[in-house]
Formats: sequence, structure tokens, C-alpha cells
Amino acid sequence: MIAYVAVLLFLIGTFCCFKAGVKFGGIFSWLALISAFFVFILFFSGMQANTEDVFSFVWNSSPGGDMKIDIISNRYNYELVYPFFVITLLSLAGSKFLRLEKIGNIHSAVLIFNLVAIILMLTSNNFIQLLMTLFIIDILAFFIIKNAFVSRQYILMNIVADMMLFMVIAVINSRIKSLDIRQILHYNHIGFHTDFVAICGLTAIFIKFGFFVFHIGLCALKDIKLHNLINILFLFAPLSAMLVLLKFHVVWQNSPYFMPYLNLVCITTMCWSFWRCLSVDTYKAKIIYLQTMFWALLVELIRFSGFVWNAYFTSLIIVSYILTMSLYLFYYYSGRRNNMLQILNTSRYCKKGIISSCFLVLISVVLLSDVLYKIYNNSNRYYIWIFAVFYIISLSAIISQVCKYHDILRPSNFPIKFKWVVFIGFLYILSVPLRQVELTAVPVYAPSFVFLFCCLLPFGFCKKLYQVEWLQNLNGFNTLYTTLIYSAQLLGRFFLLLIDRVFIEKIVIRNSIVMTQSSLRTFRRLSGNAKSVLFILTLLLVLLWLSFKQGSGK
Amino acid sequence: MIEYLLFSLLVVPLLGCFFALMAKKNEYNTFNICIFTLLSNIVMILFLLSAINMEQSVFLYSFHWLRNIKTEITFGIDVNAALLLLSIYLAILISLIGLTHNQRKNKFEIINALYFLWNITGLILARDMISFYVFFAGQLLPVYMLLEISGNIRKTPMLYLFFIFNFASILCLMISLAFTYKFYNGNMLLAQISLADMPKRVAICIWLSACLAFIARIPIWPFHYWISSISATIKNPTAYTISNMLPLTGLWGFLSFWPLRHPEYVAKTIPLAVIFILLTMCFIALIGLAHKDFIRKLFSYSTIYSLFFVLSIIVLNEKYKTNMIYSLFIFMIVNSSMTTLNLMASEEGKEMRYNHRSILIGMPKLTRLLVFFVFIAAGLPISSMFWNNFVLISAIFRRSFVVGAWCVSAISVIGLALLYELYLMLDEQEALPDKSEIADISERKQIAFIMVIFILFLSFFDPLWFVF
Repeated sequence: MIAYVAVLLFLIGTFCCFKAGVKFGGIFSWLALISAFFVFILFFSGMQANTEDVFSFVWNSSPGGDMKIDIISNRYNYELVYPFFVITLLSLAGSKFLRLEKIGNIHSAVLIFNLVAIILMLTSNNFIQLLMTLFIIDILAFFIIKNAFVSRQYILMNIVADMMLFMVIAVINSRIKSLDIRQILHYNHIGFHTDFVAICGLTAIFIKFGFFVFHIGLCALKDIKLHNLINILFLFAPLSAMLVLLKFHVVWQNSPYFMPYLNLVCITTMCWSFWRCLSVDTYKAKIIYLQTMFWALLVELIRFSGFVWNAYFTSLIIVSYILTMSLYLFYYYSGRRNNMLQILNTSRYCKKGIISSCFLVLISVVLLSDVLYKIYNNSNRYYIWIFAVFYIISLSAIISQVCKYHDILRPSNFPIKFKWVVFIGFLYILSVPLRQVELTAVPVYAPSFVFLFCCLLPFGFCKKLYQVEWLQNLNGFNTLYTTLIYSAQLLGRFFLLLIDRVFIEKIVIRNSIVMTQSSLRTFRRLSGNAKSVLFILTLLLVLLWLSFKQGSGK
Repeated sequence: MIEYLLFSLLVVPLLGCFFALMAKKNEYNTFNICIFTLLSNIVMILFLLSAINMEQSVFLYSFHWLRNIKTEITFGIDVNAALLLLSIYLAILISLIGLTHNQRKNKFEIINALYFLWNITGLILARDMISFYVFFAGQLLPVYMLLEISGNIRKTPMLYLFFIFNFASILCLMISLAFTYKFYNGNMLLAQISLADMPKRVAICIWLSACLAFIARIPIWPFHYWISSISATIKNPTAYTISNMLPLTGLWGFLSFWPLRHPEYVAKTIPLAVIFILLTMCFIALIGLAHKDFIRKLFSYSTIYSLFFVLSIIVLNEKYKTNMIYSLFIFMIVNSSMTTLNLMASEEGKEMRYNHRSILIGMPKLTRLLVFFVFIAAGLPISSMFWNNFVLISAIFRRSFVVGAWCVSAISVIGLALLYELYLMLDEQEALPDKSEIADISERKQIAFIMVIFILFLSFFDPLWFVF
């Protein structure tokens, strides 16, 4: 069934590729959305029926090995494909219904082709199919970004990561002597350069995720259109990195360095992204850091589940996408301004838009808390919970920064019906912790409480909505707000200035660029001189000899 | 039938050369003859490929040249040779598309190109020592002439160096073949040399001379300097493509001579050869990264891939020969297309007196084509080169992890260097004052390149799709 779905999607994508004018382009993308929706119904019915089948054919053959295309339909693959299908549909629908930006049919085609590539990657049983789809996703990202200058760092970093994965897979393939991924477990018995394979593979996926210290490529995208950025963050390189992790963890786990390295980078990324999300002053950069925090959180959660995908992760990723799309609305209603101060100044002129965005965000966060709670019950790791709280605090900080002026959330700005909807929404929020009251699970309620605490911090709204005397007299909230959010922001800005601007940007990056440029310049000059060439070659020879010696020792 | 086709394949370029000699100066006749020669030979190769592929064997054709002495000349063709020939013809055809009007009228250049074509066809079809040597030596003259006409005049000392190196390589091959002739009292088939039992000292002398001859053609350190200095100055796409085919002759030499089972005395030298190849690959990758010209990066790219194929021949067994040839087929076409497109853009920039950087901003059609070819060159999976390279690299890893790691590093570095340069050529910050003044690629040329893309794309599904 998944094979038919992939073929149908490919046909829809090809249909969308036809060059059409502005008018017909719009019609084409509508048709793409509708037909993709029908394909989704087909996919969903297959998922419900739980049909299992294998579609396989030899694409290309040679004495060195056959290249097969395998599409395996089973319950696990259905569950893996499902969230990304939904996200793609949401993205296609968002561009049409919300009229976010002028998006042509080519954009829809790229998204659909990307979904086909994801399906092929997920269901692959062949190393070459996996590698090909990995590269194709990066090429499609190039088409989505459009701006060649902006995409330079991102694409080059991703190609570096792809080449590293290419090398890792080639090493594995060289030992197991088969292109079949299912034979991968044999590699553990053979154990050839396992540490190299694990470290190189993990570094490659960290580059693709945009985790700390490899975040330069992803952060370079802060100048592209926000809806494209959201698509990149959810459907392109980070997603392919996660799928590679799910497929290759079996081999990488064999190395003693795997877990410490993964943990270290994920935890550092979460802390780093948290600070950056609070302190950075552009909206798109905030979204990027929020998302890297989310991916780091998800990787840790997947690790605790034994690298097995389950329905909670599906919900989590879909809710997170809805949440980010809701955050897009702030940007949209403030006239697509990127600077936080400008968003703050313009948001007061579009109060209803901002309020409705707030409402969407609230609902999404509640859903998020719910999913996180369920995952927490399975994993039972407290520090993950702390990072989940970090994530929600960052979200609420963004909302607080946008809606800093209390008058935006003044009840008089609400239509009467909307007040009721908001009221019911808040009741729902309050009901989340109350639904499963267990004294032992007190920390579980933390995100909902923290969220309530942070989001309702513009207390003018609370005071006006709930005419309670003690609430009217209470001024302590402002102090708490200042202590928790404002001082965190100040601290974040301080660290931003000290670590990011002074240390990383001015010292590490600047010096590494200068060193690379000067070494290249020196090399260029030296390569014209015979004596210098001899010196360089001797150096290379020594390096080669050392590596041969090291290699022969293993 | 195959005999006639084989004979025609060898004779048609020579006939084309004679016709071109008789054509009028400063007209397009010579160019048209060249195109006709190329197309007719391509059609013949396709017929041959179909015939050979059905039989799945090597077809040999022998005749006696001199009755008194043992000189049986043998020509032969198999799928690998036919594919290589096809890629050479396509590469030259692509480079001819990029010629300017003045270059198309240059009779002398095109005659040299045809003469080179005859020699390289002969070299690939040759299956015995003498004919192999004759065609190997015969390539020097046309390439030297082409470089002298199209290269930069200030680089004359380099040109002499080029001549000396290549002449030395011819002498080395002569020594090797003379020894073989003396010991076996006659002309031998190339395939028999590696199978024959030889005294150790003689064998070492023969193999060493032959390897030196081929190494001098492939720019392995310390023979790398002349070719890079000359190649960077060439502005004629055909001359550039032909000069870059010289390493291919060395590669073919290795492919024809390299023994299937390594005798002890050859096996001992393999690590040394591998170290030299890796050293050169890394050094040239660094040169490619450091230099600012796209053409130098292209040269580094072609050299690194030539060395990669040599490494595959030396390290891997017969099983991977097909993968190597499939990869080589795509590499030749891609390299020629990139060079031609780049030289076309440079020519336009030179006419408009603009800097080469950011010139692609004003040429959207040419940009799309160049991006496609650079993507293939950088190792992205758009053609069958990707997965053939994967199979080869995996096999190299199987033999030695360190060799594989260095090899992948060199290939990745040069791929990234090409991509980075492409981005610089698309840099909007250095955009031209008036883009409308620049002429983009013409529709005819665009269609020709789209056909090339079509060939590459279909090869992704089946490398021999054109064989019926």
C-alpha cells in the first residue's frame, strides 16, 4: 500500500511541476492539496487495515552488487510515515488557507517530492536507496530555500554530513559485503572500526540536526522566509537525521562512545538553545533555537524508548508543528517583521490576530503537555522533564515578549463569543493536571503550571477576567515575572554577548575563517615553489604513514 | 559484420582528417566534417555495443602486417572498450558545442582534434604491443599542436616540459615493449604479457618501465605540474577536453597491462604505488580548494577522479571493472560539459569585460545546466556515477580502511570546492551593473545540453540503456 501511495504522490508532484502562470499555478496547487488529501485517506485506510506487503525491484545491477528499490508496508513503517504525511498536508493546506505568502505550484511539488523521498528513505532496505534519498532531501531543500547566497552554508554543511554518512555506510558495507540494511547486525560481530563509525555517523547527524557546536549551517537560514524555514526545520535535514539515527543506532550502540557523545551533545544543545531562545532578538532565530531544542528533546526521548518509534512521538511531532505554525501567525500579524522590538510595536495594531494566535498556541501547548506527560510515564526520566519545562518556558517567553503590552490582552479586545472560547480553553488547560491526580507524579503537572504561570503573566488580563479581590490586590506576580522571565532574558543577553558574540563569533569563528583563508593563501603561494611543495608532500607522507600505522594496528 | 564495423571505426576519423585537410580555410566545412565523423562513429559504436552485448565477449580481429617478422596486429573490442570510446566521442562532441564562431572556423585545430581522435580510438581498440605503442606515441603530436595554438603563449617553457615528459613516457613504454619483444621473439597480445612467466629482473624492468610510462601521462606527483599549468590557460573547450584525455590514456594503459593475479614482485610495489596515488590525490584536492579559478578546480577534479580510477584498478579485482567503466563513462561526459559551460560563461564575461565571479547571475539558463553538472560532480545521486562510486569505495574500504578514508576525503574536498565555487559564481553581492547586456546560452546549445542530461538521467536507471 505504501508503494502505491508513493507512486501516486510522485505523479501528483510531477503534475505540479508543470510551468503555469500565477492563476493556473494557484489552481495546480489547490489540485495538489486535494489529491494529496485523497491519497492520505488511502494511506490511512491501509494503516487501519494493517496490511503488510513488500514492493521490491532491481533498479540497476552490476557485478559489484544490485541496487534495489524496496518499499515495505508494515505497521511500524505506517506509524513512521504518518506524522510526516500529516505535516506535509498541513504545510500545503497552510499555504492555501492562511494565504501566508505567495506560493506557487513548484513549492507544492517540492514538498510532495520530499514526502516521497521520506517514504523511500523510511521503507528502504538498501544502503544505496537510503543514501540517495538522503542526498535528494538536501537537493530539494536547496529548491525550497531558493536564495543561493543564504543557503550556501546550510547546503555545504549538509553535503559534508552526507559525505560522512556515505563514508560510514561504505565502511559498514565493506564488511558485511551486502547492500541489504537487514544484514547490518553482522557488522557488530565483525566489529571493524566501530568507534570511528559511531563518532563519524553521530557527528554527521548532529550537523544535520543543527545541534550545538554544529549549528552554524542551520542558523544561517535565519534570513529566509519563515514558512520555508518551518518546513526546513520539520521536513528536511533534521528529519532525515532522525531517520538515519533510527536505522543505524544498532551499529553505533556497539561503540562505548555512542551514548556519552549523544547525551553530551543533546544536553548541551538543549541548554544552549534555551539560553539563545530567550536572549536572541530576532523572531526567526528564536524559532530555529526552539526547534533545535525540540529535536534534542525528541532524540533523548527516543533514546529512552530504546530507539523505537511509537504513537506518542507521532503526536508530539504533529503538535509541535502546529505550535510552530501558530507562532508563525505572530510574525504574520505583525507585518512579517523579524525584530522582536518591531513585532512588539506593531502587534498592538492587530490585537485580534495576536489574541487568536495566542489561543492557538495555548491549545497546542496543552496538547504538548499531554503528550509529554504520556511519554514521561513511559520513560520516567526526571531530567527530560526539566528540559520539557525549558521548552515550554521558551515558548511562553516568546509569547510574553510579543504580548508584553498588557492592553493587547485586555478583555475589551475580545469579541464576546471569543471570550467564551478562551474561557473554555483555559478550563481545558486547568483540567489537564486535574484529570490524573497522583501525588507521586507532581512534577508531571509542572509544564502546565509553568505555562499557565508564564503565559498568564500579563496579569492585567487575569485581573480583568477574574474579578477576585485577592487577585486584584496581588502585585507579587509582576515581581515573579520580572525574576523568572525578564532576568532570565537579561542573563541570556549577557551570555549571548559574552559567549556567542565575543567568544564564538569574534574569537572562534572569526579566527578559524582567518586561519583557513590564510592557510589556503599560503598553500596557494607554496604550491608554486618546488621546495615548499616537497615540504608539504613530506608532511602529507608522514600523515599517510601515521594513518597506515594506526590502521594496521586495528 | 563486426570486423567491418571495427575497421570503419578506426578508419573514419583518419578519413575525416584527410577531408578536413582539403576543406577551405575560414569556413565551417572542417567543423561540419568533424561533427559528421563523430556522429557516424557514435552510431557505429552503438551498433557494436549491441552486437557485443548480445555475445558478452571480446571480439578480436587480427592480420599480418609484415610477413618476414612476427608482427600480427590485433584489434579488439569489448563492452568496456566500447563504452569508453562512446564517452570519449560524446565528450568531444559536447566540447565542440561550446566553440565560438571563430574557433569553429579554425581548420588547424579541428584537424588536430580529428587526428587525436584517430589515435585514441586506435589505442583503445589495440590489443597487441606494437599497435598499442604506435597509437600511444601518436597522441603526443596533436596534443602538443593543440596546446601551442590554444594555450597561453607565455607558458612556452611549460609546453617544452610537457613535450619532454610525454616523450620520456613514450621511451619508457618502448623499453618495456622492446624487452618483451626480445624475450618472446615477436609481437604479443597485451593480455598475455601479464600471464607469461618472466625472469624476475626482466619482469621488474618491463613493469617498471610500463608503469612509469603511464604514470607520466596521469599527473601523479612529481609529474603533475606541467599539465595543471597548461590546462589552466586553455580557452578552447575542445583543446581542454583533449588535453584532459591524456590521463585517460595512462588509465587505459593500466587497465590493459595490469596483471589479473599479482606476481610477488608486483605485489610488493603496490603499497608504494597506493601511497603515491593517495599523496597526489590529497595534494591536488588541496590545490583545488586553494585556487580561485573554476577551471583549476575542474582540472583538480578530473585529476583526482583519474587517480581514483587508477587506484581502483590497482587495489580491486576484475569484478569491479564494470563499475569503474560505468563511473568513468559518466565522469567523462560531466567533466566535458562542466568545462564547456564554464568556458562559455568566461568567454561571455571576457567580452563584456566583467569579472568571472557572479557572472552566472545574468545567465539563468546556463546556470541551471551548470548547477546540474556540478551537483553530479560533487557526488550527488543524479547519475549512476554515485552508486558505482559507492560500490568502488566500499570495495576499497574492504581492502584497506586507511586508503578508503583518504580517498573519500580527497573526493569530498574537491566536490565541496566545486560547490563552493559555484556559489561564488552566483554571488549576488558582486552582481553585474547591467545583467541584460550578457547573452545567455543559445536555444540550440541548451537543447544539446538537455539531451546530455537526458543521457545521464537514463543511465541512472540502466547504464547501457542505449544498447538494444
